[in-house]
Formats: sequence, structure tokens, C-alpha cells
Amino acid sequence: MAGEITMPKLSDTMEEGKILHWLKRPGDAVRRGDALAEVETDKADMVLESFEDGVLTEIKLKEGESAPVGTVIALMAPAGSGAEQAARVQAQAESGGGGPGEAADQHGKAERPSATGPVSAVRAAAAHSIAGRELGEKLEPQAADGKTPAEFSIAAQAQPEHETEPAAGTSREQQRETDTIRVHAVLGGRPSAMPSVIIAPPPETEDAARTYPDASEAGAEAKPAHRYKASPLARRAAEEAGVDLAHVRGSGPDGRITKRDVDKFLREQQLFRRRRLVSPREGTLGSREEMSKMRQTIAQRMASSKREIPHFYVTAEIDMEEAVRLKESLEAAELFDEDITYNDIVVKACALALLRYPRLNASYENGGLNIYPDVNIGIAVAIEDGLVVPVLRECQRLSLPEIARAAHRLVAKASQGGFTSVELSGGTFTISNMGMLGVEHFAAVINPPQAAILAVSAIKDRPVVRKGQIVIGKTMMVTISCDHRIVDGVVAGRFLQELKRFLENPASLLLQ
Amino acid sequence: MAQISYREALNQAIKEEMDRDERVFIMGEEVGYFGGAFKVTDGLLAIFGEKRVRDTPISELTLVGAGVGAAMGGLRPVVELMTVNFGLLAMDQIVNHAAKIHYMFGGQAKVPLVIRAPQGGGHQLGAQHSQSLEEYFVHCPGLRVVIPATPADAKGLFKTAVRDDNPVIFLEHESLYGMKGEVADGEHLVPFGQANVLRAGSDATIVSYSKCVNDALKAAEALEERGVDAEVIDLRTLNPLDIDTIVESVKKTGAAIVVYEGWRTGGAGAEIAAQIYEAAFDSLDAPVQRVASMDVPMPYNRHLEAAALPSVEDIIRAVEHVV
Repeated sequence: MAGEITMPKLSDTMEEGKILHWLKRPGDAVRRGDALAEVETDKADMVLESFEDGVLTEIKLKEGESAPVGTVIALMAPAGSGAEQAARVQAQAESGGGGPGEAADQHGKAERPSATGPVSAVRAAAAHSIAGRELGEKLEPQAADGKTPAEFSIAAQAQPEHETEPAAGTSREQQRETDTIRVHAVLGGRPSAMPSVIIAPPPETEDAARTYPDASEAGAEAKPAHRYKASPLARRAAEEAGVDLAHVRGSGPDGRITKRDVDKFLREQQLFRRRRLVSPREGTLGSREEMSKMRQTIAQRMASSKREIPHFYVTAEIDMEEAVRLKESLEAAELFDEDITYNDIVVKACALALLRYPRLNASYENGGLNIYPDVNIGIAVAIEDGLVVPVLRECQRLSLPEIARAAHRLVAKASQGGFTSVELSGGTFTISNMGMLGVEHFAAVINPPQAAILAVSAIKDRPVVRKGQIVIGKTMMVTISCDHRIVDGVVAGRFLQELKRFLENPASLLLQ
Repeated sequence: MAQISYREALNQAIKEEMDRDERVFIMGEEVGYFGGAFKVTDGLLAIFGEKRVRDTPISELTLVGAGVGAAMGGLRPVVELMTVNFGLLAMDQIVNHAAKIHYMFGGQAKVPLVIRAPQGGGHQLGAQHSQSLEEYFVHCPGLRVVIPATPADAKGLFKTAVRDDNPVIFLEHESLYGMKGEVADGEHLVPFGQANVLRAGSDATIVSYSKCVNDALKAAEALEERGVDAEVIDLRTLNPLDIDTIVESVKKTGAAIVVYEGWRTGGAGAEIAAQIYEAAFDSLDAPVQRVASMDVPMPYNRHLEAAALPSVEDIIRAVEHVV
């Protein structure tokens, strides 16, 4: 039976996808887990993997073309079927291929992209089932042969230094090797409210070469992931952080990559991203740029948010003196593996405040109000030409260190790629933190269908009144943007009061 | 609590068990009038008499066989092999009889026998008299294998051994007899299968038993000065093996080094490493290391013997290799 490969729904807002590249051609043998194509979605570029063995028989959607979710984009013959044999013979005939030797060679080449590709490939099993459940949708990319959506896999991986398309005339094979997975370089790093973390940029090319080998180099040296000498613990750590071991230098016996090497790599990446932050690509004067799918999605969603949602804004100034002290004392105690950031502290405080004002953890829908059962807080992270909002699920259950661990892992993934669609969906409230940029105050546009978004600015030394005296304190401006259809100013004001109470008495954040 | 030697702790344990239970008796070559080749049974003959402290002919097969029979008949014999090396003569009784009778008689007979045996090298006693043979017994199901590293454990584990209904191989390292340590007066029981974390650490797990535990502790101290925080685990018994404690530690440290005096190949380190791989593969940051004796018959020459045995320096090197 010929299997139909349909355009998968890779995020909960994805309506259509564009084929960037086919990584297999008709007649190519495909193994379960092989990368079939790169698909551009509204959120990120992801790799569509095969969920069964067989032979790709026909491509229905050409590179560069888009199709709605569910559209048949290719056909596949299952392994061992007559159709498979026929498909191979036909494909060989069509390509003018001669003997079996050549065919084998062709297969060998065709399989290379998957080998050089997504180390951080993540099965989208949970992603689909959870996203589907939440949206009340039925996702059946391959219902025909009884496979669940879970059989689809996706992966995304960033290669910040490789942004250009291969030059014209580059052979298709080379292009596949160097461009297997496309690139959304990261500009924004871990959100933090302290501007002091920004480090002056050294010459960027040198820096980049050291911290992130460029893709052509990586391509030339690329080996299948399992060939890298890495300890099991390092492999696990890399997988959890979405790190491609190809980029990690091993310091263990015989160059083995150890957990320490992965940790070091992540720290360097963090530094790297902070450096990049101060010199993002800002565009060229007098040029026109075509917008990426992601940019288009942002454009469409932000315009519809501002058009349909009556925004109002409430701002509060929060005394962060105690929070600063808490952060410092936690660092000094070295109790946790992860440094707790201001962003983590704000997330925790928001989760607690939202539990008291759940109507801000809700959506306006058909004249009604859906209040979500969980507090899933999205963190806006800037990446090249756009942003992603990875979601921390069930924040109401997480302790501060748990939030820190989960948040840092997600933010690290923004640079490494490898988000699963579940990590980018299901948010019920969003935090946008520009503290690291030293901003005084800003307001954010609501991320539909959520009811509110919190804009967090930098912690600054400002005069404050304490016990009737003007002293220099550390304060932070926060602005909440709310959907006026759902809540009124008073709820927003009370929420901010509550948030302020937690942040100004941050010991409470450690208790729950 | 008193500071006594490993030898004295054993003597005390035997005496207390014989006091407690009149079915307990000891037999072996020279255990009576001579007080034992290593003086562990010194003074017992005068207290308990020839009926319960029995000198035997020089025939290991016979005296272990007599022990098996006595145990089946309802007594709780303690048999001393002068050294484990001579115990090889009794392997048929140990492996084919002691270990199997309970099973082959469908549980109707039991063999509550303790076989004590000194072992180990380091005293220039040559290839035949310097062996550590715990693995021979660990390999055979049906035997408990107990191998204490401290005076306190020697007493506590011996008393548990006497009360256990299984045949117990109780191995004492000859270099430990003079070692002193705090030992509880009177009743002191150490359960089987419960390893002792002697030193907590976060960087590497050193798993050891018997004399090598002391070397591991010395290595850990030296490593601390170099900024490496090693955990040291004394297994105390090899059957049952407390793999849970080992795995819990390895999950914390990410590295394991097994230190033992037997030959490296096919030794306890292989078994322990395999079990670590099975239970904690994803927690390992490096392959499990084995520090053991070289695969050679023990040289008589003092320098060569020292080179063949595992040393504190060997342990330090192995730990530094993986952290």
C-alpha cells in the first residue's frame, strides 16, 4: 500500500507549511527516522522525518511551494513491497541510472543529510498529542495506515553562522550537506533584568569561529552523531539541552566529550549570545527584504492582536532591592546547579499572582471566557529576524529552581534549535523581558489568544522613599497589557499589586 | 566501645557467639592448642574445651565436609581454613555440597556453616600463598561471601554470619589482623548486603572491600588535596551485593572505580562494572575503571610483589583518569 505523506501540523497555530528542501528524492531508500524534508512553518524551520522504512516514490509538493496542513506532499512505498522494487527500477530508469553500484552510491549520498543532520531530533509524539488535545483537534497525519501523529518526528537545529544559501552551481548534494537544517540564528540570550551582563563585543568573526564552528567546517567534519566519542552522561546532557555534539570539543580521555564539556559549551554559547546581542543584523539601507515565514506570521498575528483585542496598559514600579539580595544570596549559597535569574524570579512571582487572578490566565472565545487549568508561561526570546516563545508548562507546580532549570534549557534551545512543537505551544500567559537591554519602560502586544502579557524592564538605580528618606534603591518597571474584553483595569491593578508583593517579599517565592 | 584489633574483634565475636548458642563450635587446623595460625582463636580452647574447639587433621576436604554434615545435623559450625589457598582442596565440599544442599533437598535441609579463611598478598609468601579468591565463591550461587574491612565490621558481620542459615564464606585479609578500630562491646550486628559509604564525595565513586578500602580512603584524602572529591564505598559483602548503594552514588558522581586485590581479569570489578552499566549507563561520564592485581602469579620478590598489587597511587591515577 502506498503511504501518503501529508503536511504535518508542527505547531498549534500552523495552517500551512512550505517545503524548503526535499532531502530525499523519488527512488531513494528511506529508513524510519530519516529526514525527508525541511518544512518552514510559522514558528520555525523543522525537519520532517519518516516514520517507516520504504522508498520515496513521488514528490507532490515541490521545493519552495506551500500547502495546507494535511495535504498529501509525497508518496512512499513500504519496504519490501513490490511497489518499492518497481519504484526503484523506475527511479533508476528515470535518472538514467545504470547498475546497482550506482544506485547504492545514490542511496549512500541521499542518506548523508540525515547523518549530518538533527542530532537533537526530537520525536514529536507528545507534542502532537498534547497540542491536539488542548485545541480539541484531531491530528491524523497518517490515519490511513493507523499510525498516530506520534509517528512523526520533527527536529530543528540552528546554525547561526551559516545563513547564506549555497552559491549558484553548488551541487545538490553539497547543498544538502551544508544546508541540511536551516538556520535561525539567535540574537537574544537568556532574558535577564540586569544590563550588566552585556559584554562588549570582540571582533565578531573571530569570536564566532571560536565559539561556533561555521557550518561548512562542521559539514566537512560531520559524522553521524553516534560516532562522536561522548560519555553517556554527556550525551544525555546534550540531548536535554539540545546541543549538537558535533560542536563540542572533548576534554576526556582520547578526546571523549564529558558532561563538563557540554556544560562549558553551554556557558560559552550563553556568552556568545550576549555578545551577539549588541550587534544584531539590522538590515541594509535602501534594500528590500523578503519576509521569512516566521516574520510573516509575526506580522499577521500581531496585526490581528492589535486589531481585535482592545489593549489597555497598567504600569507599576517594583522595588527589587530584596529580590536582588535574594538572587545574590542564592548564588553565594551555591545550593542549585542553575543560577537563578531575575527572569526566573519574575516567572515564579507571576505564576503565584496568576493563581490569585486566574482571569488573566485565560482566553476570550466566542463571547465566553476560558480560564486555563494550568499556568503555562511563555518567555519571549529574540532570535534572528523574529522571536520564539518557548513555554514553561504547569508553572504553578514548579519551584523556583525547577523553573530556572526548565527555563534555561528552553532558552538554550532557542540558540541550538531542536524545539519540539509542544515546547512552543500551549502558553496561557507571556512574559517579555527587555531588562537585559536596559530599557526604562515598554508595553508589549498581547500574544493571542492569551488575555495578557507582562513587559519587564531593567532593574535600575532610582531614588526611592524609605522611612521618609530619599535613598537610592533598585526598582523595575513592569507593564501589563490586558484584553479589555476579559478584564478591567482593576484586575490588572490588583494583579500587579500581588506581583509587587511577591517580588518585594521574595522569600515567599522559595516556599511554594 | 573499645579500640581493638581486627584479630581481637573476631576472637570476641566467636567467643560471644559460642557463649550465646551452644550449637556453635569451631574447628580447623591448629585452632585449639596453637590458637590459630593467625591467633584468631587464641584462648578459646581454655574457655570452651576440646569438644567445641577442635583441632583437625590436615585435610581441608575432610574438615569442610565434616562442617557441612554437622550443619545439616543441626549444629552451627565455624570452620577455619588456615588460608583460602588451602581451601581450594575443599572446593568440592564447598561448591558441590554446601552451596547446593538446601536447594537439592527442596529446602528440607540447610547448611548454616561459616567457613573462615585468611587471604591476600603483600607478605612475600609466594605465588601459592598470596591469593585473593573471593570471586571463586561469588561465582557460585548458594554461598554468602562476606569480606570485612574494619574491626567493627569483622565482629558485626561474623555474628550475622553465624546466625545466617546459608553457608557463608568469611574472608579475612591477612594484612588487616593488626588493624585497630573502635568496636562495640557485646552485641553488634552488621546486616548482609548493606554497603557502607565511608566517605561522601561528589566527583567519583570508589567501590572497594577488604584491605583495599583503606587504600581507597588514603587515595581519597590525597585526591581531596588536588581538588577531587571522591566517595568511598565499602561493600562489606559481595553476595549479597548492595548494587543500589553503588548505583545511587554513581548517579551522583558520574564515575566509578572498583578497587580489589584479586586478579583484574574476571574479577569482582568486572561484575560490579557490568551491573553499573546495566543500571546507570546514562549517568556515567567515563568508563568504569578497575584497579586490581596484575594478571600474574604473585612474585616473591618484594618490589615485584608491590608492583603487582594495587596501590594507593594506582587508585589516584585511575580516579584522575576519569574526573
